[in-house]
Amino acid sequence: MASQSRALKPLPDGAGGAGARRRERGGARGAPYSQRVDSEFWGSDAIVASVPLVEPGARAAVIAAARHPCAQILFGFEAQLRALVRLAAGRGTTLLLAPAPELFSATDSFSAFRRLGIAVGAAEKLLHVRLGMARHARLLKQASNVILTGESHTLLPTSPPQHPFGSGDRVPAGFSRQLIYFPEQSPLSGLDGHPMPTALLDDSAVAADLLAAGAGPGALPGGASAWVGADDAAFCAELGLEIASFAEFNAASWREAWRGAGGSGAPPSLDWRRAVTFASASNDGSDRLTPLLLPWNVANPASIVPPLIERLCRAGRWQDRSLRLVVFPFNESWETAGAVAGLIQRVRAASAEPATLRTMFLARLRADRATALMRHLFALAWVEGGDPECALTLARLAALGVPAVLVAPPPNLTLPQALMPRFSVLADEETRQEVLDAFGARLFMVPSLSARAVAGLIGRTRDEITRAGPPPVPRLGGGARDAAHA
Amino acid sequence: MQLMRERLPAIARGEALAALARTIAGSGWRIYYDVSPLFEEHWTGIPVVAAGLAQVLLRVLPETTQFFYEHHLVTRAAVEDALARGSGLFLHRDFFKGPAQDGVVPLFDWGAHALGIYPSVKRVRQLFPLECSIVHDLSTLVTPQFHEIANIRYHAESMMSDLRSNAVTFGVSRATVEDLAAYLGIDERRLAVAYNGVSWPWWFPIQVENEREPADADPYFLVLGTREPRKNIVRIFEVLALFPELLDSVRVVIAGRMGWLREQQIIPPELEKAIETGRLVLPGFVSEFEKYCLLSGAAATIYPSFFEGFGLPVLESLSVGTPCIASFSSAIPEVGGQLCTYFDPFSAESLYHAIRAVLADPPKQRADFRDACRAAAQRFTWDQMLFQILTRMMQEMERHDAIAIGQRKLLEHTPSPPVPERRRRGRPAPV
Repeated sequence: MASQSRALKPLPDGAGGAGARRRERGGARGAPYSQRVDSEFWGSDAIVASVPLVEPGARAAVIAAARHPCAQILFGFEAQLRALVRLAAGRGTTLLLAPAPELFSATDSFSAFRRLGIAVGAAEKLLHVRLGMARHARLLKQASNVILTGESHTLLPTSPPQHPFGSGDRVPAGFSRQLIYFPEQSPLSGLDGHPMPTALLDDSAVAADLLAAGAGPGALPGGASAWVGADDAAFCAELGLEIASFAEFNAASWREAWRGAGGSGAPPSLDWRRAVTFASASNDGSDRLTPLLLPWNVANPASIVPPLIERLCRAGRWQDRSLRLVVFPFNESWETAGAVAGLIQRVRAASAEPATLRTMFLARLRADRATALMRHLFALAWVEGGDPECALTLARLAALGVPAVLVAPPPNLTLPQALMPRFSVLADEETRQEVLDAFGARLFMVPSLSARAVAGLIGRTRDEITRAGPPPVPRLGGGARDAAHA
Repeated sequence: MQLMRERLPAIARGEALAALARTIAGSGWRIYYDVSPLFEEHWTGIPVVAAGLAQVLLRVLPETTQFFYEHHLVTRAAVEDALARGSGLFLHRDFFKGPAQDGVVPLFDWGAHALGIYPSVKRVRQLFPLECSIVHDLSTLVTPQFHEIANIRYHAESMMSDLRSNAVTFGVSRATVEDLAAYLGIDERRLAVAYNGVSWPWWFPIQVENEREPADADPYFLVLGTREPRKNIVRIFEVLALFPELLDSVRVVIAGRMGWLREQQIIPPELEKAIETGRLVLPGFVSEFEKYCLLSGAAATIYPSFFEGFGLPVLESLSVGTPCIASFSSAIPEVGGQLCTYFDPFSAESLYHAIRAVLADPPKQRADFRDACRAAAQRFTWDQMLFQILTRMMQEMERHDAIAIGQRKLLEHTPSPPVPERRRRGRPAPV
């Protein structure tokens, strides 16, 4: 990937002025959604979900969806799957997962369903819900196919790619409908360029799993507000929150955990423990530890997160003693297998201050036991405005109770009113990003932040945290810990 | 008598192909056949299909068919030589050095009567008034995780243009045709199935009898195919590592050249001893005759592929009367029908159950199984494949001719436009 940038004209303040105007008309691109998802959908004999393939490590062609291990559960297609599992459980619907729906073709293939109690020959009664990125969409032939995605493509390649699905907003012809989370989502298209009919899911579909796990404001066990202290760093690991500094990151163990091995048994990061101890030892609010959550959609080829991280690492100790950036990669799949390791390799090579690498972290949450902890761990989240899944990420953060800042939103971004960020930092540059991958060569002109704008983002973030005041001090004690485990 | 009944439809089809060929030869149409897949040195998969069709074309339409590569004609002798050798090594060399070239494709000489048949991806397209190509699978599109990026891009970049420029696109199975319609939205009226075939030189069975293994040798299972991730060879390694006792009673032979993404197919260290003791054998690429020997001597073949447009090794196995334990994925059940024992390609346990079932009741020893295999082999022949292609293309040729006649008639009956008044008076018309 190559990139170069040029200055942008200043944009009006606010998260997407044009977007706000469109919202008044109801629906992105002026295309109203057709209907809400109704009982007919949930009344299917069985729903088969599928997600972009992470690794061919599945143990069967069809499994119960609830048994599927996720590498991380906060964002992206894995989060979508977790929420759908919870919704289906609530409605008594059988939800299956086919790791590779494309392999089903003949009656003999469908015999795999027999093991799970679905009659052979009933394929036409199955509903297949494809989750995740549109360009990875696969079909379950003979079934009824719908796609459920949180993507809204506000940023498309400037030249049409040769790959039929390379632009990212087109799906195979076999999909009959798109299920959407928000009326503001822009609809996907078929290969002919026509928008697909859409149907709106219930509000609860965005974060049913998080809500069931007790995330959100005031949801901490025992009603206690908490702050993470030194010994709680280990506690995070026990609850499935894996954190490693950029200096500690090990590509092999990251990949192993991604394949379903390793996991919460991993030892807690020494750098994280040091950071937390430092913060908890300080009684002065000025140098209080403030972890910032930065979701990174690894599947977004035009993401500004990697250049932003590289810029911060090159700049040295921008965080001084208080800010800690914790990057949560999501939507990792076969296609992006080396993306995280590649980024770390680059920043290690380019970092002006090696010590900076000990104050920036990579993390993932693998179990929902710690979701209630997130709002107490992270004071703020930076969310990339140009990410196709920006709205879904904002909604998940809202469900977690973590306030968000929108970074470099494109002018045509539309967001539901409820997801308005704490503030936005507008793009003042346009970066030319050339991507060459399995979907062909593409060129994106990406709204992004100059060094000056990044400095402004850091400053406003500090101000916001100061304005919000120090969080309540009570620590997560043994009783609350037991409750969280329960 | 039963054998005679089975052969009747085949004979009938043979006659039908001959009749069709006569019709085409008398119609004034010429057939141009793209031999680019035959330029490969080792023929497996697509080159085998291209060779099978070329063989039949040379037999049934010798005067009507010409061979080409990109914009150049290829001599019949060079193609015949490659077919006799079963390799494109010399064809490739002779073409690029010149002797196999036969001038350029006469782009503007044939009027409207030229049909281009492309057995795979088109290197150049829209040369002929009518074109058709064969899609072998959509694996680079549907299962790109099993391919290298360069390969995905090569197919993706030409796929839509190929399909758009075809009058008809043939899929080698119903599953592939359905994929074309479901993923790429191709109108089903422009799609048709042309099943692959299988054939062996007449002398193979005789030669095999002379080289047969001693009867007391342990039976073996054969896994055939290029070693690439899509072929799911790791599932074989997994089942052998999980159930090592299998190798006490049977040997396993994994034959095929090494393909791409090798890091995904590493042999687990637990199996090194089995390789040393000859219980697990990896001979690499094998010639057609070696393949035939291995196939006919095997207790069964195992085909664990994740995704196939057809599954030629399944048919090859059945054609010599050897049972196949096959993945239930994509087009494989369409080819294997009731003759294969199917398993879940994700599950080593499922494969183990299938192996045990075949060991417990070896189908190869049953006469009815052998008869059914023979019938399957007769259903899938290169003659039949060409017949399916030409039958469908004949309709297109007729339609094409009818349109041309209609246009001519229309021109004949359309009155000339009136000459403008000013021109009649000899004044120049405004530009």
